[in-house]
Amino acid sequence: MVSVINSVDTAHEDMIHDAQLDYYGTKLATCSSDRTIKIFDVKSGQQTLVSELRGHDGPVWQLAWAHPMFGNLLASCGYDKKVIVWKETNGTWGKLYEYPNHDSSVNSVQFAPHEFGLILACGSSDGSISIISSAGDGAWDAKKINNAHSIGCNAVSWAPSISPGALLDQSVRQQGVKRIATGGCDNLVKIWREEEGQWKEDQKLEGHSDWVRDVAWAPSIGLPKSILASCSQDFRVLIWTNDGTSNDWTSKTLNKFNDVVWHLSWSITGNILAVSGGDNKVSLWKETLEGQWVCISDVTKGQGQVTESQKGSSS
Amino acid sequence: MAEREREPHFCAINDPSCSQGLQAVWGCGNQFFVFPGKKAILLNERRPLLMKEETIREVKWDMDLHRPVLRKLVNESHNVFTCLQEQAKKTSGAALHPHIIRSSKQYRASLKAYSLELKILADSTIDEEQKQDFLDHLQLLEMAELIWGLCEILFIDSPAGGLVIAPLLEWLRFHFQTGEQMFLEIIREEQPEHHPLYWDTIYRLVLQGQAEHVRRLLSLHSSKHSKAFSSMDELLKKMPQHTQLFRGHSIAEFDMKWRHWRDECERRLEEGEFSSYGNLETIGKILTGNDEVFSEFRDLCETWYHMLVSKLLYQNPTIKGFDLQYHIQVCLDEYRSNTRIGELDNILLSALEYDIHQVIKDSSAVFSNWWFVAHLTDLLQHCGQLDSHKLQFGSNLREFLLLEYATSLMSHKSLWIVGVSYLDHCPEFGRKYLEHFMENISIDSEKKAQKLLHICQERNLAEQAKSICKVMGRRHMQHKRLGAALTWFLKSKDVALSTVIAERFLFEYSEKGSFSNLDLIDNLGPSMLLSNRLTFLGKYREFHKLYEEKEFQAAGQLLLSLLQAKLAPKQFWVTLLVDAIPLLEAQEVIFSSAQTFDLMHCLEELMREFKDIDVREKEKLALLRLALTRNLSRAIVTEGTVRRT
Amino acid sequence: MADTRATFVSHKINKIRWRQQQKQSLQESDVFASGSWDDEQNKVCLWKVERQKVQSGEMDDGGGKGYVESDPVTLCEAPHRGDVTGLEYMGQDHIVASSSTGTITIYKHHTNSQTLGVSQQWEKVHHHYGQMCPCTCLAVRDDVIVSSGEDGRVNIIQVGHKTPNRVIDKADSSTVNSITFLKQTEFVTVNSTGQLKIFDLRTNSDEPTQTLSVTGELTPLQCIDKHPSQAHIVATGGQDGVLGMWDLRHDKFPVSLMEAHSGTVWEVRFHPTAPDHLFTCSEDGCVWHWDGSQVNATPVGMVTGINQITGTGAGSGGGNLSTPRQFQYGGSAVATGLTNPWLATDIAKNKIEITSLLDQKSLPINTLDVAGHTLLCGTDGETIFTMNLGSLR
Repeated sequence: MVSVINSVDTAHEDMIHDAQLDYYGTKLATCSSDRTIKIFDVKSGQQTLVSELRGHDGPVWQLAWAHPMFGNLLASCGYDKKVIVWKETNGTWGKLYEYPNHDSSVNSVQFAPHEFGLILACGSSDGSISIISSAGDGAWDAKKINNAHSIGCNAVSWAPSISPGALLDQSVRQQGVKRIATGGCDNLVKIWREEEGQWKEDQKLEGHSDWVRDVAWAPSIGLPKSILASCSQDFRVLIWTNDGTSNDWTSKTLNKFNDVVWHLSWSITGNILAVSGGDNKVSLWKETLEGQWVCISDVTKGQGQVTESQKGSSS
Repeated sequence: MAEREREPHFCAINDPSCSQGLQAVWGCGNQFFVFPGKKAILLNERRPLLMKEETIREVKWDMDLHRPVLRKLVNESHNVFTCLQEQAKKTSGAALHPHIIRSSKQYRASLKAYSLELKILADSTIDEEQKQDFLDHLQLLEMAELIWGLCEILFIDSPAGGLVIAPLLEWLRFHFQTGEQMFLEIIREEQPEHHPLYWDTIYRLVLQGQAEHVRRLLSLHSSKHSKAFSSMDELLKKMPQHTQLFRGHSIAEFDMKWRHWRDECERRLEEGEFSSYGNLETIGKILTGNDEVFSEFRDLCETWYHMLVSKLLYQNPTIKGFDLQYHIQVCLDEYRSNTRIGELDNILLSALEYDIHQVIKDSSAVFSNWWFVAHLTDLLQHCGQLDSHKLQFGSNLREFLLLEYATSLMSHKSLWIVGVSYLDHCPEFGRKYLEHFMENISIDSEKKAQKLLHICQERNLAEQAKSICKVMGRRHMQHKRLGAALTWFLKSKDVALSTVIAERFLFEYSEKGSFSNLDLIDNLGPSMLLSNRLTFLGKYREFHKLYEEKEFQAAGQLLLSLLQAKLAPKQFWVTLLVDAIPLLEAQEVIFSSAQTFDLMHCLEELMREFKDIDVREKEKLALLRLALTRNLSRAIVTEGTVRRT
Repeated sequence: MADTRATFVSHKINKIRWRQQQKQSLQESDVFASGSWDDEQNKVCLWKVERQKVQSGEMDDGGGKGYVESDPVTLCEAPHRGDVTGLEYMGQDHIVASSSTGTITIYKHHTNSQTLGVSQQWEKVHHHYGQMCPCTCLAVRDDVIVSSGEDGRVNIIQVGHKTPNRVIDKADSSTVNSITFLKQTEFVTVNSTGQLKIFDLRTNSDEPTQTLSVTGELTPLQCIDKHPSQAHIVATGGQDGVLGMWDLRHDKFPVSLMEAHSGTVWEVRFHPTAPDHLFTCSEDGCVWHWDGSQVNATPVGMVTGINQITGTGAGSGGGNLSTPRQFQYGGSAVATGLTNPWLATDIAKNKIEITSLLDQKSLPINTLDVAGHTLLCGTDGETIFTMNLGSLR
């Protein structure tokens, strides 16, 4: 049984664009068109507003929490072309770093797996991607990939830190490979890889017929293959897989929805994918032992308490 | 596989603001947050209308195990589960089998115990809604017990020779207790035969093969001495008992005996021995396995599976498990008119058809948690019932379900630790799952951190262990508890952060002129060797102690060696060199001429590298230079004197 | 082997304590308190154990075998904010609890109505500059409470007063894990760097009067208990599973270190009336009974004489004994004659018999308490074990 057990009234004055739970599931950060970011304590079923962060001059699009080993850090990006890293010290939140080097709205931000250190990637409507890293002494360094997606980059997602091949052969533990997947208005999903300090395009995945709104790299569960999900304005969600030995990525349509799909989110262990978007629904998808993707649960806008079941359409 | 063809769970949110689209983010385990809204609105997209109500909803599922009563079931069955896994490591095959059966019985006993507890709770609850909730769960537990019982007989216990009627009768008696209860009530009556249910009860007992109870009831009848009653008593007494089968009788022998007995029943029936007593005649018909009489007792049997077992008891008592399926349809047809075939019926049907796969599949859909399928499948796996030639997915199925169960436990604030234990028994993905979960368990205190660390260390999760220490250390640093932070960095042998702390201590010293956290610094012992800075800190404190204890010679040597080993950060050289001044001006000569030269060397190097030393420090260094020169001459003089004598 | 009952209680137990019996009372206590942790809503619970006399031939001087215990049943409970990190009875009807939120609460057990209510509370007496900080331990002597926490602070609190009487802000650089009174005016703490510090309330100094430690080690000490009749003997349990014995009169170092459990020792307790018996419980899921009553069975003069023939090594006794992996007797062996088995020489120490009371390794055991014939322990498996030990000498 799926049930709503709590609700948090955010009191945002405009549309919410993102909400992110910290690593321990105790703090929820939200951001909105009202230019603010709010942080709520959501421990043991109670929600209290801890802090409200102001610093963006326009709608705030996306948030990302850093691993707690770096302290309490939150990154945000917005319409004002800025990326801001916020830090909590003794209960008070303040700006730690501001990155102003984009020429247009910054749509997406995400921290790299903590094994790589304190690094974040962001994608902008100016078509470029920035990879910003901190040496830990307060100095920040940025690398930029220009013209990554024509018309704009909408989403970034880091690959898990352990490259799949390393698990098969423990002796070649090549933990170092940093990879990012991005999606853009050129209908493409691209994979980027860092080689000798330079970011290079590794793959160009063609499959969508409209803007790609989100990409999400699945957490590794020890299989040699990599799994990537993408969703698009074309109403479809694609699951991309790479067997870990070759460079080929194959795609499979998870489902064609009734409206634009704009958000994807994998569960912690990567066994369930949550899909949401313009059809006012959140559906949960799981791969069966036969390799089929099936819908297991649906949360939807409804009039009554519980509406009648809809048959999950499996691909 | 488990979810195939299962209708998705459905949950609706009644909120108009959700009509602008929804988004969801994951929490830990089976939890996420749903909110109305849209990702970044791209430049040329139309902005949706402004929405006022901006509420985020926390959605969870698979939570019914989180109820207090069911948590007991979770913990108790966990013990059973781990015991069996331990046994399975030591033995296998026939030697393991008794352990599997014992575990199966223990699981059922827990189910029974907690359904009783739920029943008591339901009975004592006044709140209607809550009561219904208890009753709903009670129903599920009872259903689990019923299915489990049948599966135990068919797949786990597998009775000798495949003869299933005896255990099936026991199963019936366990779940259909009206006959037994009425029996106990009626025998206490003064005139039992006048009890309105006297004969119904007798029929029920006959249908469950309870010959002794039936004889007892018949002996309470006023006509017990009549010929018909005596005859019936004799028949019931002679009825071959299945227990004989276990006492070394062969099946053929038992079969022959039974045929003999039934022939006698038929003969007496035909000869009209019971004709004056309609009820006895009916019993006679049951004993001879008359089809019509079973149809007539449809209501007393209550369900098709009860009828199936009752009927087969008298028609085919040595039937083998695999042949049960051929007799189901007739019984099902008897009930078709008034009830729809429900989920429970379907599962039992699949079980009787030996379709284990289907049983598990349907059960995972019916039960709102993974407890049932995960534990049952584990037993079936150990029994060899899930060998891949029998089932497409082989052991994957067991792991698949255990992972689901563990995941639902990991979503709970307290039960996560049980989840860890289940993941330990998932050879393929358990470890990876655990790695992910460990990063997401909130660390509320040092005690919790220690426990998580222990879990990591026992399983060699080095990355996660390091991460926990880093988180704890960082947190203490934030709270300005540098000593406590250092204990965590030392634990994970974190050179970089230990160095950071050591530098903070040194900085504090150069600011305030005194050390804090001495209880820790003075007792670092060999752990100080982790980082050069830490070693320097420890040694520098030793220098101070030696100085305080007026061990000037030793203090001087240590100071010099600290400078020479280049352990100290350059910024700290000034402090060190200034510390040398009192030693240089001590009464006795502490530094030899050579050593004085070394100190001078250090001073020069420092002056070269740091051009912008502030005025105050320059003064100090000038003082030092003076002291060094003076000491040099003193040292040369003493050395010369010593040499001469 | 002890008779053991397992009661599943639906919350993890972090602390368990028997209610104190009135002096002169010959009856064993049948009420105990428990505190939960690591849950959304934690609580303090009071339990009762029914004891039924058994008419059996095996009567050992009114010993525990003459009774059969039932599963403990809840008498009453009260919600508790944060983990219960410390729990002590104060008199018969008051229970003091410390919390991971830094707060100390006294609950009163109203025996007439069987309810549990808050009678006094000191909020956030442990804190990091006002931010939340867990209190980790407390000890009670008459109407004085001492507490410590992850802030390294020690609070001395007098019941009835609104604020602590005295605060030692920098009692420790690391986290204090356990605290206990030695005398009316003296208490001892153990910390996360393996130190044992004695504080004297009569002095004005915030410095400990004595600091003891295991040389060259920073392994945290997690728990401490004082010998019930000889205040200079204390036992500690460490994160490395080692049981330490200390003679506070003598050295800076432990008298002996015994490698025992394979995980943190969370609690160590001397039997209050049979102090030759000691109990430990651990993260490794085991509870051990250390029986030192045989150490002095041989006259002291003979100990050296029978050097070669002491066959009763640890763990070789009964059928249910679990043999510890390895023993290491370190520290300086202080020969103190016959007086106390826990300070005995190495050779005699071989006669300490160790029994594992829970043979099935389960989830971590956080706490134990023993009184009379009954040992209680509480676990992360949401279980309370009640064990009848029989009679101890």
